[in-house]
Amino acid sequence: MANLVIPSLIETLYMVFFSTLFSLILGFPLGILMVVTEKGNIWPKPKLNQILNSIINILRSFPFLILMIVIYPLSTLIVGKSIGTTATIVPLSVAAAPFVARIIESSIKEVDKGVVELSLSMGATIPQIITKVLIPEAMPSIILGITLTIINIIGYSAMAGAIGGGGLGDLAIRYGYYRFETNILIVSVIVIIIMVQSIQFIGNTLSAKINKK
Amino acid sequence: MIKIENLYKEFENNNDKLLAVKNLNLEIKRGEIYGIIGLSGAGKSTLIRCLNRLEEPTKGRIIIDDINITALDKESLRITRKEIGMIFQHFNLLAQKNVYDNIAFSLKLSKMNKEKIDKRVDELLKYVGLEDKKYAYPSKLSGGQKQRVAIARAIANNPKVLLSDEGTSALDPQTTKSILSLLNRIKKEMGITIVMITHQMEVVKEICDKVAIMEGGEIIEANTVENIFREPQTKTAHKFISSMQTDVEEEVINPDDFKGKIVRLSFLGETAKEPFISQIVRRFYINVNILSGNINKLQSSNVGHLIVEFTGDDKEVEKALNYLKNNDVNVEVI
Repeated sequence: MANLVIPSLIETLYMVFFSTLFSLILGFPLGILMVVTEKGNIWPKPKLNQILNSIINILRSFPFLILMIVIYPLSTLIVGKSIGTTATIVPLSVAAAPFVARIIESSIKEVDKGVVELSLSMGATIPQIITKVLIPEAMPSIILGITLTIINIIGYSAMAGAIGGGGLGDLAIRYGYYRFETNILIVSVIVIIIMVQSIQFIGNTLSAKINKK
Repeated sequence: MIKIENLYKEFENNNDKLLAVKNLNLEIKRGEIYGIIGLSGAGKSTLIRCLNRLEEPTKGRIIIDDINITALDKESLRITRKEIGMIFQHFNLLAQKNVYDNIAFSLKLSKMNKEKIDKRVDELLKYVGLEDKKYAYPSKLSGGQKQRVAIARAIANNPKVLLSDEGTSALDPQTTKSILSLLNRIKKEMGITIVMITHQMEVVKEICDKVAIMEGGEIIEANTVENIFREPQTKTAHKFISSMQTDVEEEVINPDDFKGKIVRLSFLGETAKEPFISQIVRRFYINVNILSGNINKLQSSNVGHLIVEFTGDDKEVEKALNYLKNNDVNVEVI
């Protein structure tokens, strides 16, 4: 059994790691942009804000499975194939990016408006306010948000497995469900549970540790 | 140093217009501590936030140290703001940064090198008396300590002006006093002009040189603190003075309860040293009954108040009052 579960686990870890990374690269700036371009904020661009808001909402309305099918051609374009673990990273990242944007947006919004005002009164530039004030002040909350994202992506990746993405979800479906090897199904699920538990634990600990509030 | 000319600030909210500051004119001299006092909603916070354009004025001019603040473009405004420090009611410290990083914040924004920053922060810590809290986080500090950090941060760049938006309103009376004496030291030793927004007359009394009273977006009275205490012109000014703890007796005294004439006498500086009461009793055929009295210690001198009841012949009382008036005692019949 180990020779089935371990490679699948590695596939899952690989998918989750890179999907998280790319969804952060896409979603993080988007989330910050959502805050600063708001009316009355430090870089008000109401039109842009509205457009970004709509895009995020539309992407988030798609059921993940449909989004994956729609985006698979994009995978062919980027990684050269539309099936397998690497190919799955593309739709996973795209699906998680708007989620990340919302998470970052709400974390940044928690930052006390007073410190932004203070930074303005001291002559800080907009990039300085973002990098030296907003992000550091929101960091404990951002870490919890990223934790939530990783757990979400683990869930998505299991679904992706069902349509040829590989990983633990794939293993559970192919062996556990189609071949009635219940023990493999159970083990796959247990491994996923352990992963989720540990990531949540690490996230909570880290967030509490850096929070000086 | 600071000149405000015909300043207007209008807020618009769903077609609802609110004129927070109307046609306001004010001049503040270099090295002064200028208090602006008013009840909440008087427009004083809006006014001080217009000075560094955290709030954009609708109309009018603001000139600080010969720079027309209202005419600056965004980039020049940003650079000019470095010369205008500001402290807030709720301190606005960076919660995730320690005291050192909070004070170094403005220096880092100006890209000063690490060595210089270290030296300057140590200097400032010593100045505000928090050397032992260098690596503490704001959540571990008391309100007074937090405001000291905020003050150190505000003066780190050697600004010409320091704005205090209700800087002591969240503090207890004793801490307020220690913060005020720190501000006074800053004014004296660094020559920084300080503008203080407050709703506490105690703050004005303690350190301000001049005071403006705001109501409904306008300045209804502005004068030196001594003169306001001695001869308040407006009702609001009266209320502020009598709102101070030492004056509560005045509220209790109802002129209808007394047969004689109830008069409030104010003595300023030298006049406080003359024995006027015994003089009038000897000179005129009247009786004087002292109902309450107090002395307010101001930044530059003292103002004494007495509330007395005059009984006797109306003419004699009139003469006594005139005598007092001629001797620079402020007389006010209640």
